Amino acid sequence: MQLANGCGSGTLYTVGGGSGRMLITLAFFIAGSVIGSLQLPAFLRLGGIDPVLASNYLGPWGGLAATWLSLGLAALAGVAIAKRRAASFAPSRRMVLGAILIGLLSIAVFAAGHHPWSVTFGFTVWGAKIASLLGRGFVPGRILAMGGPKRALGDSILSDTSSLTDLGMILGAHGGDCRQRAVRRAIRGRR
Amino acid sequence: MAATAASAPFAAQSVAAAEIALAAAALGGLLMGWGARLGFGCNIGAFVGGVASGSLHGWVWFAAALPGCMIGIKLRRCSDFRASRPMRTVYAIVFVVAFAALIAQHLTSPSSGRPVSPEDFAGACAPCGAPCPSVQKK
Repeated sequence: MQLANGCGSGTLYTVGGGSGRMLITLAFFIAGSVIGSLQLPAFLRLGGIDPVLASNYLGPWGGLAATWLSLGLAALAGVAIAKRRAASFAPSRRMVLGAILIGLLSIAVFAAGHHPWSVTFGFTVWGAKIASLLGRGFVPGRILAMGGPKRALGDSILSDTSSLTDLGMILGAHGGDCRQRAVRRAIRGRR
Repeated sequence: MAATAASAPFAAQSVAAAEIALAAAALGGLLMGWGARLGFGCNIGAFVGGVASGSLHGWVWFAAALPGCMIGIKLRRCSDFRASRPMRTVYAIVFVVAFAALIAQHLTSPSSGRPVSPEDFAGACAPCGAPCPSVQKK
């Protein structure tokens, strides 16, 4: 993330904003996620514990309360660390509005796609499709052969909810960038 | 989008610095892709999605990402991360080709047009298809 100057969604919205450098990051992100999907079964064989869900122990509302509590504690810790380093931590109003908007939209994404907002799965689908186009001998690997991913690989990219949210983010960022430019141009024109 | 790329205020830099920056972008992307698949997602899929679902793995992702970020921030100083000059033509070509490929594969692929359902995840513990550890041991 530090080397690329962005995360999964950061890559997408920067690409939408016109960054050529991020296209390279995105291309390698896609490649890396396909490689990762091939190696995931081996890593899973290293062992692990089953998912630990707060709602399994506390019920849905108890789980929600536990989540909010954990976020509150994390926020307090973050603010304390920021204060100690004399760093700014107060968000601007635009940031808060943006965050609220993202929260609402991710609820909508969850309702539409029946799973939480996912960015990187779309990359794996894109990469696997490109790989199977380029190399006829591409074996999807056990992960991509399982139910959900297998269907995503067989169907159109526009059928996969993660793909769609990724494409939406690129277009949305482009739209936001266009609007920003128009505003800047208007300000410059007024001077 | 090509027009956006062309008019973006990118800083001019020496060729060597630009190459390092592009290499850093490539390496960063590769590591993120690999890590995201192994970690069941990136910031949003694993961290935000996990924490919002009340799943422990979200916080585990965060705890693992922090030291990685500390290392990454130190490496950042070696690579000038300001964007290189916009590759207007490359950008335009990539988008035209990608758009054409997207339409072409859509017209030639089945499209069940339904959201994911429990049958897709039968036997899996995660949307990516990974089985539960307790199931795996059998």
